[in-house]
Amino acid sequence: MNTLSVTGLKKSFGSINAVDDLSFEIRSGEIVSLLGPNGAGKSTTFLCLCGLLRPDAGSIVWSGKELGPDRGRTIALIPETPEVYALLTVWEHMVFVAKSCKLAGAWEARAKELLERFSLAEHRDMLGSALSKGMRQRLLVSATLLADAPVLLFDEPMIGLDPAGQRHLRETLRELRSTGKIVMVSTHMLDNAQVLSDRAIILKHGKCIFTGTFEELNAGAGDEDLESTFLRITA
Amino acid sequence: MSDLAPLAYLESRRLANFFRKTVHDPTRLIIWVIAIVWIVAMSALRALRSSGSSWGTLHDPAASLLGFGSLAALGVVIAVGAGGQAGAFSGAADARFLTSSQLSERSVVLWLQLRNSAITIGRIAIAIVVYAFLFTRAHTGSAFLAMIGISVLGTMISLPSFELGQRIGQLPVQILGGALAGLSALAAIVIGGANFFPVLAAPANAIERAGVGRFTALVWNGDTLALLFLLYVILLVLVVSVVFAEDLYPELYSASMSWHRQLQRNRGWSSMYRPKSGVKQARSISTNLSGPAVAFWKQWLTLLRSPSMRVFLGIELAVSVGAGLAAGAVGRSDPSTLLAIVVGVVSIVIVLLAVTGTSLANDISKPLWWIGTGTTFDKLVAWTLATSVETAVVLSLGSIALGATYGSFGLAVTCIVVSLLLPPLVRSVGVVTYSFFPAAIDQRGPAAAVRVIAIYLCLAPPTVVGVVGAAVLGNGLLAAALALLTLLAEAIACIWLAANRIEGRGAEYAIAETT
Repeated sequence: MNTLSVTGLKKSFGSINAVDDLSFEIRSGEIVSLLGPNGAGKSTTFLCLCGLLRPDAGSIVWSGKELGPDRGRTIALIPETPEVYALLTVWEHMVFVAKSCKLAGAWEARAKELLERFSLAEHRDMLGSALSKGMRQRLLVSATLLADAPVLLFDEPMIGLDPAGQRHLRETLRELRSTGKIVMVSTHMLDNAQVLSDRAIILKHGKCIFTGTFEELNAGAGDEDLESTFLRITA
Repeated sequence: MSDLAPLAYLESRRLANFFRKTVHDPTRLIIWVIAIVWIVAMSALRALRSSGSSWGTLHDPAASLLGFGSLAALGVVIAVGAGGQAGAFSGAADARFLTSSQLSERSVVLWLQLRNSAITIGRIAIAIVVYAFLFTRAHTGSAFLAMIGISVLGTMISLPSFELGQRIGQLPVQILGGALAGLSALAAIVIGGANFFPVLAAPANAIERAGVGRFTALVWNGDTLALLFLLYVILLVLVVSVVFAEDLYPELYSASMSWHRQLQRNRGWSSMYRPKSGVKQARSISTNLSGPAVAFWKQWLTLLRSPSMRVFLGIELAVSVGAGLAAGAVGRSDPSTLLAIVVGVVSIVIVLLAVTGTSLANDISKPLWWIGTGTTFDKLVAWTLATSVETAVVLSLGSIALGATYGSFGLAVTCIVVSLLLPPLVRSVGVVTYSFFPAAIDQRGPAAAVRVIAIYLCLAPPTVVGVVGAAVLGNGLLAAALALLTLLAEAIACIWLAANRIEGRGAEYAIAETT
């Protein structure tokens, strides 16, 4: 079983420790929620993991091999505002990913299948500038799956999605889990996180203050609901 | 080479879709047609008027001034580039797709450099034809090549400066760029000052012997060897940027995103607003202004809280007063030269103001704009005047300096009146052009040509009124007043038309501007 291991990850901006000695391990087929108040270091952690921010220290290991500067090919980030090329059509995004990731063989059939799966097939000739947030998000997921990145990071994916879009995204994430992908979701929506995730990692001031299942998080909290527990431990 | 094929596919599809999108939008098609007709007409006109002539009239000290000025600008770009102002990726999508691809970093950086240079060439090509009326004596082909070459060099050099800054530290590269800029500016000051202070004549001659002026004149004159040397420097910069492109994505991503955020902020109301880094609080300043007039207060706060804006304003004031003093001194011995200088400065100011795109998205997309009292017309008038104050003050101080050294109160007053009226007029033309063509890419590109044409058209009626008025009334002062009133009426008409188009459609315009 493939594993993503992060050890001693640190990132500072001046005197602020955005990520402070963060370590965790995630196995294939797991969905893990990254929780924490604003400024806890969730987005910084994701940017470090996908290679868009250089950590000050720490190692990121995938299946026993330490990942270098090109780890964006293994760990893909779907950011809070999913940006796509305004002047490329949906299908042209898939073609570009196939060409730039040097995919061989029957990638076209796979791309078509992905667009079907994520309800984008009928919009294949639509320009990026005309896509809604949900459609852009689904396009990025499709493109990431076409490139076959084994680890997907979703930064605040539910924000701006209507209820149908949120349900669709939850189904997508579960589907990704069933295909053996590692999925990390950074979110403030605790209910969604609880329903969706196998485990949670809670950050405060860049440090990990909890890692475990939601049952473990609630254990010993008595009648306290999840929100109150979260607010208590992050206060 | 296999890495370049996907990148070529990306750009070719983006370009094809851009044309497809433009052709399907008749409004946007009009502006491109106008710009193309303008470019072709001006190119033909230039070719006819400048046939046989060349830039050979540019000798030292003017050639050296231009050469050292360009070197100073390159020094600034190097220093700023090393500090992280390197907008290599075109946006978040570019960064996301390219950094997660299997393409080598060197291929991506090579492509980014070539793409950014192509964009620069496109913009310069438009700007050059906009300048068509100004530098008619310049040899068309060589002047085009020289401007494009220098601009491409300026575009390309920021990335290797950034890369070098990441390897050896920002400070040494910034010092290097700052030294180049400072020494070049000093050389230009000494050369320029030699006309007024005889003590500077000897050092100015020594600096001119350095050959920068001769090289500048050769480049602008289309000398093959000089142009080949410029091309060699550009290629050298390209090679250096590709060689250093290794394990660079994290810093390049941060720099690009910060650059794009800054560009986004710099559009519109809070133009050039960059508060001091790390400062999150400021002393609150209240105002007695109310209604749409609070636009002036907001602009004042922007100036107070933006160190970069204050520095820029200081430079503008120094250049304006210096130019006014110099022009007045020259004009005392040769009034015809003074007239040529004043007309030239007015033309340059018109073109510089006109090529700057208008952006209202940051304002009209926000409820704050619409909940204030006053009509849209009132708010647009206030916006136009408030954003014109800075330029008007700069030009007015230059006018006072001109009048003082020339020794004419009347000349100073006339120039001040023109200085106060010109910026709002040009802005009002910008606002009405925006109300028809709000897309940012149109504003930066073909709308510049449309604005210049519109401004020249707007200047025609006041000129006719002035000339006819003077002939009929026999009173020059009254005729001038009538001409100014005509100008004012045109500016008001422009804003009224824009207000009618924008009224109640703020979000629609903001979307049109940004997509």
